[in-house]
Amino acid sequence: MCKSFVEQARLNGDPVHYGRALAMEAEILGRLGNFEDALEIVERIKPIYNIKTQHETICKAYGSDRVAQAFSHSVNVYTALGRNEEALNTCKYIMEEIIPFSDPKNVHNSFCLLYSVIISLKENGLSQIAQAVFQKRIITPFEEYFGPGGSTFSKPLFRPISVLLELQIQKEQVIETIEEYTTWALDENFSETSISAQEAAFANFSATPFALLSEICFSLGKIHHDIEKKYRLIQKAISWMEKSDESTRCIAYPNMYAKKKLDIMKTYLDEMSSAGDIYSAMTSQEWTNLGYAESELVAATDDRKLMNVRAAILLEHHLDRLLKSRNPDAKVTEVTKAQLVKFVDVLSHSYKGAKFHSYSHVIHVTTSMNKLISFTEIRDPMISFTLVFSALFHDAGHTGEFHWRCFIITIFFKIN
Amino acid sequence: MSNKILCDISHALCEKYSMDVSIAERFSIDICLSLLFKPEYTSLRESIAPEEIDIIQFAKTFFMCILVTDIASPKSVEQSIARFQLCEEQASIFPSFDDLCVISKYINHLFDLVGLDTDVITRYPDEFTVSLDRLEVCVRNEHMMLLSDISHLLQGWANFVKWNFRLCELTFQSNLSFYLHVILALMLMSDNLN
Repeated sequence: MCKSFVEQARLNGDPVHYGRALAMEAEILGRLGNFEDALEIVERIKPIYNIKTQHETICKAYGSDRVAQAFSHSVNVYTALGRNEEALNTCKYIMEEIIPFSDPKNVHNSFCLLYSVIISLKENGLSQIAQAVFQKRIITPFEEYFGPGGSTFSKPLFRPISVLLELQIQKEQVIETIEEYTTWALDENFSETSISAQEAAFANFSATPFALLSEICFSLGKIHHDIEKKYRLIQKAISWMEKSDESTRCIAYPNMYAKKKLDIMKTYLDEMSSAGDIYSAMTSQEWTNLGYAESELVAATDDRKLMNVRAAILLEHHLDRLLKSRNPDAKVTEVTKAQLVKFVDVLSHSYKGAKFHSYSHVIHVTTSMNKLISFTEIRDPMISFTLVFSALFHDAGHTGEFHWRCFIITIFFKIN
Repeated sequence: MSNKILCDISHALCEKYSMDVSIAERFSIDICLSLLFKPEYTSLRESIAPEEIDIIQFAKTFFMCILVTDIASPKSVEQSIARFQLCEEQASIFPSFDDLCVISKYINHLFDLVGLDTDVITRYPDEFTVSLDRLEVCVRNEHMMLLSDISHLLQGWANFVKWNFRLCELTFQSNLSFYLHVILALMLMSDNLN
């Protein structure tokens, strides 16, 4: 049917409709996973497509430039074939040769053209460029021509894309807005029906909107130090990605994308442990083998991030006891947890990699202190908290070196 | 770097703290409490110590726990032994407990760091009175800190080897550096004499 349609369009002789028909064929072939064939069709579009003379007519006939979108689809096709350089070259071509000549008022068209570009740039570690082009070509024109209260089909995806790109740019650093984003990402009222129409439509263009939401949850989960939230975020990420996998059964590229990400997320979840698991493992290990227990949850490490997680979990446990001693219903709030994690992280950097008086040393001391407390009958939770707190920071700022050089030079100058 | 060397080389920390004992420990306290009392940690700080009395108790215990880890100072060690003997029912040989208090010398430093004024001594006199009961608690906490700090010596062979190997490495490197610098100093002095 597709080939017949293309042939009829060719016979019609209008390059606008012929280009559109070819673009459709390329899209169908791409959806079916016939990637090489799809690229051949895109090559046939190139000589007959001229954005300067055809863009307006195509948009008038089809609502958006459905011919230029063939290039956007080819970004996914190149990626699926592992030809990343060509995918990025196509992204560059779209950003430099197509978008500048497209009608900026047609934000829907710009979004359709750039959706696969943004995702491809993100996947290649170029989120800053993706963020800049997203802002310049989609957000700013939308605000200018439609206003904040305006509407366009892709508008529900604006925030998810912005947040995802921001998280990718920050990589694995904890960001100021982590709690705000986490609350939003875990909001049970945010149902899939609110973007189900976009899910179906944009699955043709690249990774689906559910996949983007999944990646937001995953990125937040990876940087969140609250283990309970970390769990919920990773689980929600998997749930969204499974939905993306389900909704793209018949579309090759976004389905490959969903399956690949799903594998990564499930592996990550398998390697995770809860705060309770870690605390129990740390407290129940044998005094003599402290740090050498079989469980990976307590095995000694020099990985600062892992040490920070363990330290924060120990402190949070003792702080929780302290709060409950004042009010049995009290618990450590999310804000306090976040501050505790940040506090531990900042102070961990005051340990300057000394051979002995290092951060690993104080983690060993702190773990030993926690174990000692479990042997004793200290009833005052303020004291047990402060003991663990002190153990963790007792060498903060320690240079860890013997500065014989300074000593000798001082003596030398005193003698002279 | 030991506290003695800090003073020998007139390190900025020595000048800042003006006494030649527990300089590194006071620096650790400074770093930690200065950070904790920043506005971005208000929720954490108020969870630990919501009231003035909590701040006093937390700060006292924290100061004491960090200061007692200064085991390189003979005077500190003497005091530690004396506190232990006192709690081992030898109280009669000590005319006064005041000299044995770990934090008494640093009380103004403590007030500065946690934003308290000296009036709290009047408002909470019990918190600033050295008694045998309080010294017993202090000795227990002190020894828990000391025990934790050298726990690798009291655990299994794996921990003993791991941490002592690191200490040996550090000492070896420092000694190597020491001898190299002795040679360098002698060469410089020799040049000067010539």
